[in-house]
Amino acid sequence: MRVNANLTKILKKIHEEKWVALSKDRTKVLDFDKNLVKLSNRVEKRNTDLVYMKVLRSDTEYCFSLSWQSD
Amino acid sequence: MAKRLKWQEYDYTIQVGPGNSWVYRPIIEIRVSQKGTPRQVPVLAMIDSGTDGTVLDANIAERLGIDPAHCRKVKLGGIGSVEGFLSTVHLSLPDLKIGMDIPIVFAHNLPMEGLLGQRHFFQRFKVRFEKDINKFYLSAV
Repeated sequence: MRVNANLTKILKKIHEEKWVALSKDRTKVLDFDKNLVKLSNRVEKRNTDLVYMKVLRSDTEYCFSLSWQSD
Repeated sequence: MAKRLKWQEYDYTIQVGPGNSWVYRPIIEIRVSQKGTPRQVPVLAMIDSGTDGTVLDANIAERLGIDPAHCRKVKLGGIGSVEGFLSTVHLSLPDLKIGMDIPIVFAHNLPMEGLLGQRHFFQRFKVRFEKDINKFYLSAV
């Protein structure tokens, strides 16, 4: 399935720093919430053909390289 | 004769960035599940060669029913520092029809949903970036 790669038209300020449920073809925001569990409990009652995304702030330049260490 | 690789083509995902510029990110769909349970979380994640392992937001572990109290705690450092916990889960790439059980760090308050890094992801997939045409390609090793 061809998916919409340009999310600039569907992701708005209100979605930033929140989880969004996108339609499988990524053309629509089905719902959004600060908490993924609350969002998925709500949206998966109506639609299971979706994919989740956490939206970065639009005024943020991404730079988040990570390494990890165990306690 | 060298094995001919089968490449899966992707468009870079475009989002609005600083100053209303367009930012292009190499993002793919993955599905995460806990071994032995039917629940799957379909989520987007970014391919990030600067990340050592594979890191997902802790909200995904919560959705899968993973209890952090039963997981090894880890610290993530780099630019910024966050805390998380380690759990082995099943990660699959529906486009390539490939799945693998790998240890993933679930980090609290990650700015995005997930990062697919050097360990496990880059070890198992060849990644070809063609930024000049805003496409990237994946092939299983």
